[in-house]
Amino acid sequence: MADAIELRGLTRWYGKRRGVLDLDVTVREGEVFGFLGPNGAGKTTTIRMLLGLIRPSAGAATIWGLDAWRDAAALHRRLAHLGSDPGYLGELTAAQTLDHLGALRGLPKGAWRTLAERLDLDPGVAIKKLSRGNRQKVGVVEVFMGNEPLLVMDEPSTGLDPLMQREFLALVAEARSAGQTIFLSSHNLTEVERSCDRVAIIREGRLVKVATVAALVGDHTRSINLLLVQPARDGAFALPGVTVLSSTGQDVHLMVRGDVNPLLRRLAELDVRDIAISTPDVEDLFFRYYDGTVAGSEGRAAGSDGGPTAPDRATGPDRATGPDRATGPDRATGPDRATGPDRATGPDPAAGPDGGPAGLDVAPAGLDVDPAGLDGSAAAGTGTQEEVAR
Amino acid sequence: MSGLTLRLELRRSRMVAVWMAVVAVAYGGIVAAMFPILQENAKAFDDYMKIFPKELLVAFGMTGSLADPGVFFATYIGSMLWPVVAAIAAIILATRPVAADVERGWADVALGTPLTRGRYLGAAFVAQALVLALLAVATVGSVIVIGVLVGVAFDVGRFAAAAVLMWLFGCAVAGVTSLCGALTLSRAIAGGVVGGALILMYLMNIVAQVQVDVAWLADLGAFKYLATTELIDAGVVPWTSVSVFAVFAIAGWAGAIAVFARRDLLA
Repeated sequence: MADAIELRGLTRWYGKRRGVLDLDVTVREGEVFGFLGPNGAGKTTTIRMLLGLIRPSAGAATIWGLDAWRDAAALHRRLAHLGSDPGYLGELTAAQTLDHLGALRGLPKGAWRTLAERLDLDPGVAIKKLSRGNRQKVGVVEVFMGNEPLLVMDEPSTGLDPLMQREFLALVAEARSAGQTIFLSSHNLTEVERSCDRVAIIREGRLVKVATVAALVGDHTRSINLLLVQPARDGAFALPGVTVLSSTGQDVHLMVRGDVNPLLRRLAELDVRDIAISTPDVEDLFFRYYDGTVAGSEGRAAGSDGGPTAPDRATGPDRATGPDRATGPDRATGPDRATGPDRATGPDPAAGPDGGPAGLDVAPAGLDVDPAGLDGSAAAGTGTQEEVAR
Repeated sequence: MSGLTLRLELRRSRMVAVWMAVVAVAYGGIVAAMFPILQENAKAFDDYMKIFPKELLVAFGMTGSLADPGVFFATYIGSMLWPVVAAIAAIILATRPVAADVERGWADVALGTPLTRGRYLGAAFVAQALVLALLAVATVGSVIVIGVLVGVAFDVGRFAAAAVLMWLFGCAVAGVTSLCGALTLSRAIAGGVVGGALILMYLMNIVAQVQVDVAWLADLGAFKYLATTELIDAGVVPWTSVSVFAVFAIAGWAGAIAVFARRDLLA
């Protein structure tokens, strides 16, 4: 499958303020690619560079081999875009807006009508009189009303009610079936889980992981919030596959991956006032993979088993800037990425009970290559650069 | 230039065009209606004007009798109404596509289509020129039409030529404002800079007329070139003024396109 989008070393500074740093991502034709991150992570900056609205400070963004800045107008014949809060003109109605934008894209008048009906959008109302959600519907109609082979969307379902979110996901699925490539940013993991083939996580401007959705979330990963009657003793949750995300004594937030039975047995020993189990959200994943607190808690848990300590695992200088990460030949394909001794100083993080924190796949040098966590190619030692955490 | 975008720009300019035209027509019509009174009482008005310093009168275009069509037009229209109407309209229209639309996000939406930045701005500039032309025609037309109604036969050809000069002045303001907008991407800054510069030039022109030893100040401003008296009274086309305004208009718009094509769209 050919590449639709290629970001190579994409970097953007706003003066001294960080936009994004050294992004390497490839999006294949026909796939739905999610770009996850919290507010301010750099998602919109990346999309604006993809659209040729701003220039990279370094690196390049190409779409079908054409430069996103230099060839913007030509590329826009083959892509449709939806911004996170589109600045439509308030004095125009939704119909006038969509007709105008459709005409600029060479679409016939009224090309939006079926979609507007499907999304229950009243096209005769002036944009300034529409609610946030209805304005977003205009954007969703706009992006899907043509048949451009690439759709670029920045937090597209923000403001949509659950019914419309479901409709949006259906539209994404239909577009994928039609062979369209979709690049969408979001901080809504559920949306990404349901719609995307692969996901990149970006945090503080850096790409921290690219993986399939299933690998990212983990087949059996759950977020567990506990309210205990009495604070648990230290190390009470130092169990295989269990990560302590936060703990204030009685209020404990855990991430569990794999076999839940050891945890259930431990909970049976405790006086639990309340428990909530859910799939993890993006923030949980950030904590799980990259936050020093989590790494520290896991480091403590792992430390007893001889695993890597927190500073090594999460905050060591190599993690962000180590030259071997950026350019080393074994960064992308070397077998030591997955199993080599320089990947982790402790037991295989994914190995389970004997290996310390199975849920954590952050390597000391920042390589979070998880044999189970990346799409198959990485596990097989043939992963591409973007599959390497930054 | 994109025809679709031009249509949209003209549509968006309706309110500015209509209300500024109403102001221009109302004011122009009223002063034109007063012209027969000025003619009938020319001596009394001339005597009254003598109580003011001559330099001050010259500064406001009153270089002769108000009963003279050229002096009358320069005093009430060329030096007063048109600079205000043209400046307001030009600043509103010219800060919109390159500054306001970037701030509000419309530029992202429009430029997310196959529309190039040059065609996007080109359409906006044509719309500015058309609206300013409409306002110039409305202003001068109201004077001519009301003049006919009150029995004054203004020279239509010379007044039309004055309208062209006024239009070029407006285009020059729009061009420079567009360039400022492209450089700053801020409606407030671009509008403030151009508005402030116009006020400064207006004051410089007055000071230059009143204080002979700083007469050179007038050369630095735009208002020296917005001189319609000789055009209306003697039929002499001020080619220097035409050239100066045309150069600033074209250079401003071309510069705006060149700058905007290279700018990051960051509000």
